[in-house]
Amino acid sequence: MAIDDLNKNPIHIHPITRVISDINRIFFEMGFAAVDGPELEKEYYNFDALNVPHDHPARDMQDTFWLKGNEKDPTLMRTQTSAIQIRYMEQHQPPFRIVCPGGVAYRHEATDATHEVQFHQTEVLCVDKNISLATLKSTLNRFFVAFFEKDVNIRFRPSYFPFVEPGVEFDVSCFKCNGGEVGCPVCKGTGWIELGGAGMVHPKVLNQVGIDTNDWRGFAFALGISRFAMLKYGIDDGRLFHSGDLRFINQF
Amino acid sequence: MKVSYNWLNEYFQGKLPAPEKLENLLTMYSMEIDGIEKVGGDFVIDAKTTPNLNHFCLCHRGIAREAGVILNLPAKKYSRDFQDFQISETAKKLSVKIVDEKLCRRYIGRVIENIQVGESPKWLKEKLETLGQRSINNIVDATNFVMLEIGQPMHAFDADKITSEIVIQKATQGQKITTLDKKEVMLDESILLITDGKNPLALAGIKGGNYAELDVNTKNIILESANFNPTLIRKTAQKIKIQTDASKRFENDLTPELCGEAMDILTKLIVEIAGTKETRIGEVVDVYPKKEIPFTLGISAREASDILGIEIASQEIENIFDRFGFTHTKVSKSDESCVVTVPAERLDIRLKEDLAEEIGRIYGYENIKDITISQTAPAKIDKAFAYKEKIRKILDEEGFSEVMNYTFTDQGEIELANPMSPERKFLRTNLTDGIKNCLQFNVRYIDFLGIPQIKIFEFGHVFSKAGEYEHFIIGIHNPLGLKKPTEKETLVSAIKILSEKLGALPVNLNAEENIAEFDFDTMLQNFPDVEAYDFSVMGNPDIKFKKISSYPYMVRDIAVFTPDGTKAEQVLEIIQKEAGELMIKNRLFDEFTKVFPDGTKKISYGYRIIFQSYEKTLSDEEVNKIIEKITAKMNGNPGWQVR
Repeated sequence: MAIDDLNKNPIHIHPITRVISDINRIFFEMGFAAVDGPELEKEYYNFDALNVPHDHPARDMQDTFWLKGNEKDPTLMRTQTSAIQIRYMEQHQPPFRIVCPGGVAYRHEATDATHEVQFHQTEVLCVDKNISLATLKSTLNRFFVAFFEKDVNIRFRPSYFPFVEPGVEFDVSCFKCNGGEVGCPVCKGTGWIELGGAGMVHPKVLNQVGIDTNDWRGFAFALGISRFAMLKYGIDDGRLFHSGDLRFINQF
Repeated sequence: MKVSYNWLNEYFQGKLPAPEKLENLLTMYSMEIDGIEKVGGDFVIDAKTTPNLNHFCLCHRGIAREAGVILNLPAKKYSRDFQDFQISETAKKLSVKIVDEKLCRRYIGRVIENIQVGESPKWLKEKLETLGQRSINNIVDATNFVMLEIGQPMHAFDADKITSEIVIQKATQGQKITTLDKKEVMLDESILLITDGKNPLALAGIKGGNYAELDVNTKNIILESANFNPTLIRKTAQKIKIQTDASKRFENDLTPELCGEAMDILTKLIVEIAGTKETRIGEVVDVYPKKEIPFTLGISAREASDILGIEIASQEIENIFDRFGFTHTKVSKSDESCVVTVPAERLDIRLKEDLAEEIGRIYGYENIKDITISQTAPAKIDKAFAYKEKIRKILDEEGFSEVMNYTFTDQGEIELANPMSPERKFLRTNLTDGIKNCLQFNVRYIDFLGIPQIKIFEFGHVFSKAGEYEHFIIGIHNPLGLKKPTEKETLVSAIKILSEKLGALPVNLNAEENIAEFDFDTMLQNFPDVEAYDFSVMGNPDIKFKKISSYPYMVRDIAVFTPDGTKAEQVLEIIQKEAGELMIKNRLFDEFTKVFPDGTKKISYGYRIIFQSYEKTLSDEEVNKIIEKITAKMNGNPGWQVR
């Protein structure tokens, strides 16, 4: 085991912060502007405008913390940074490229080593001419190659998120074993790491903010930052990020 | 949705590939598979179907059809063959009345007389049991079979327990129903019931009542194949907290078109497994106020190719539509546009983007090549983000560590309606409370951490009745006995450095002398605009996490005089060798040169060593033994003397 040499005056950077900084740097270089929004969000921005209607089973995909006493104007802890998309698009005309490098979001679920009620998410949105699943794939690829500093590949699997169509989940080829090594601790020998959801922005979402879908198309995706940090640094329990425990933070 | 591999395979006369291969194909071209489990001579596939697929994939046929499209292998209409039957004119006539056609979109009823309630045949029992369902009796099992086969929930009532007719109507306030599992449910005007005009027979689309429950003596039955408003079913199921296989399907929205064939195959199956020589089958009563018309939409090869980012020929697209069973016609010979009519159950396909997805996934997302997005003007700098990074860098260099605390706490102004626990039911109004806890928590590990003071900072959102704000906080905590620098001195110095490098800091919102909390937005206003992000990398980004031991650690100091010219590393080397794995940290805390009266010059090195095990609590004796070994080794070197 390596021994900490405390004689050097080391600089400690929270792993989440390090990941967020990397994400912002890589996307900035691709022309994406950093934005963020409120964590306390209107139901409209978090759900309705993102094509997740009231009383629709899609609501079950994200268990929500609701505020007390706001029945008339339902307010919640944002369950996804995607709420930013609507707030931004209401105020800006395409083309645009934005990234929320590290927004805090909340889910009402039991916590364990890989699930937290409070977590950081990255949101990326690009609306332009000639946007397609191919440009989405290439953007993800450029990001992951830069992030993992390895020549990784992206794989799409069909999936569903109400605010995109087509919708996919994306896997990245394992940066650790480069593909399917038995017992690889990162990819569990599958060769792939599931890293997030993506897709072409749903026409209903664009129409909702007055963007003409005859002229513009968009892609969007989200990344779970805790999972990134856990993979990159070999952290086995995501709850450590919010522990405030310097025995953890000062390792980095 | 759990499905049986063997059942799926019956749609293909056994031509499906092996279960693992099928799992892989479904994963890559259709849906997420949560797992696959061997059950007896079968495999149960746990398909994680999403709401778009749930219109048609909460049954074996739906998933079989998906497999068929992927494999380009046509699936049979049903997994098994059914025998035809004759309608009997003498069977009792049924009357059905739908009060609100928005809530009940179709209701098909049928009387069957002189059936024999009994055990199900072996094949049916096996099918249900493989999927973890209990066999009840042949009639109930037949209704469940139809639901699992084609996705339409079905119900059967004892016809002799019902007065005259079937009325689908809202409950009245104060009314009650006892469900099949003997649970009493209080009703109100929002809940839709199946009644016989007087008595509640079932919670529409959710669960049957015990009033007209089948029993061993049941001879005559009424079968129900109906369609209910998805929102109504979802709301009711949530309200009365009863979620069933039926409610799950209805809330996901099924086409009313399904009711007809479901009634047909249910009747056939009941005649087959519960029929007697005297069985009489009544004509259906089908109340279907607003018949669904087939949905038609258009797409061109150009549009599909643009969305997917890959050129796909119209012939290829038509081939994929054929596999899905979509009918399509070219608008004109010259045009590549296609008019597509989708099967009734494909309620997920309403826009050309939906069609593009079907084309894309079957064509294969793996065939999509990267197309780089165009270069654009440099992105705008986000001032808040840029300054957060600057502040972090300044404080990191000053030996501060960043913490991230939870938003939910035990007191505040904004309360959650559904907290995880009473201690976490408010949103924090400040960062100070969290920072205080952090300082307290960490000070006990000060030796372990090897730092003289606990110095931390945090950025985070706080919430009050007035709104949501981003705050920034710095906190210092001295361990017992540390006199200099004081907490206040360290805090003042950090604030001074920040304001010198960035601009004046606003009023400290905290009155305590070891903590300074600021409104970050106000803070930003005093800072000049930034031209560029600072992307310089600080610290070591390539660190691997080491698990924190849950056992206590022990601290020992060792100081040794060594001959002039001895390096600290030589001392450390001995320590490392003798201490082994139990030493998890060390720190050179003291170093000086002394000239002895005899003229010899010696250097003293003082090391603080932290011992800890991952397996147990270390005893004093164990640690002392290690120190003795180190001491002996050091004293064995000529000119070395442990002090």
